[in-house]
Amino acid sequence: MKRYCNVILPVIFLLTGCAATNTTGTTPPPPPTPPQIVVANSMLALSHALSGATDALIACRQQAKCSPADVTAAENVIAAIAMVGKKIDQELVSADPWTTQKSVILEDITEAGLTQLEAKVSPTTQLIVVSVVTLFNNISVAVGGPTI
Amino acid sequence: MAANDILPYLIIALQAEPELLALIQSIRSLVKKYPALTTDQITALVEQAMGPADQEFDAVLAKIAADQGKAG
Repeated sequence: MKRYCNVILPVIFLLTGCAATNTTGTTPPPPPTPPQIVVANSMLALSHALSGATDALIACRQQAKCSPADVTAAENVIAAIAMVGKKIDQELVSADPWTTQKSVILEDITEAGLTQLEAKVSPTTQLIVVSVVTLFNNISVAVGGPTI
Repeated sequence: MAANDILPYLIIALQAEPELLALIQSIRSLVKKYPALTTDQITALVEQAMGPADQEFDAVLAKIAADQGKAG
């Protein structure tokens, strides 16, 4: 009995002592969210924003606050972003490692020439698509790409 | 392991109950602070977001096509 106590008690006190005295106040930083999950969540937010922006554009035209030509131009930008979004979706669910996914996504963004799209949108409709552009830029920056 | 062999450990565990609880709690909090995601878990989370996103992109494209068809 004494023999057990001599061996095990110091070990337990050492372990619990170490755990209990961790009161230095330094909180370790939280683990970084994997980039795939960051991009995936941004894509989901982007898809909702695109839908909302499309509805807003149609309403803007119906209320005669935006010209049909402006709305069509902005819708074309939204459609282009949605098409790129679908490509990014396909790549994200592929079995490729993140480094490959990142370069494929970057390629999709660059090939779509979205950086020139802002110039095609009038100032009025730009106010409607601003949230879309912001979300898209977040995704582009996450893969080291250009911003619109 | 005979009952007599376990008894000393039980006595120690009872005597050191607060410390053992503190040890278990600190291990649990460490696991919470550093949740290691496996590749499968990451894939599952990505697919969870991508399914609805893809459907929404399709819906947006259909909505625009319908609107432009109507407007045109």
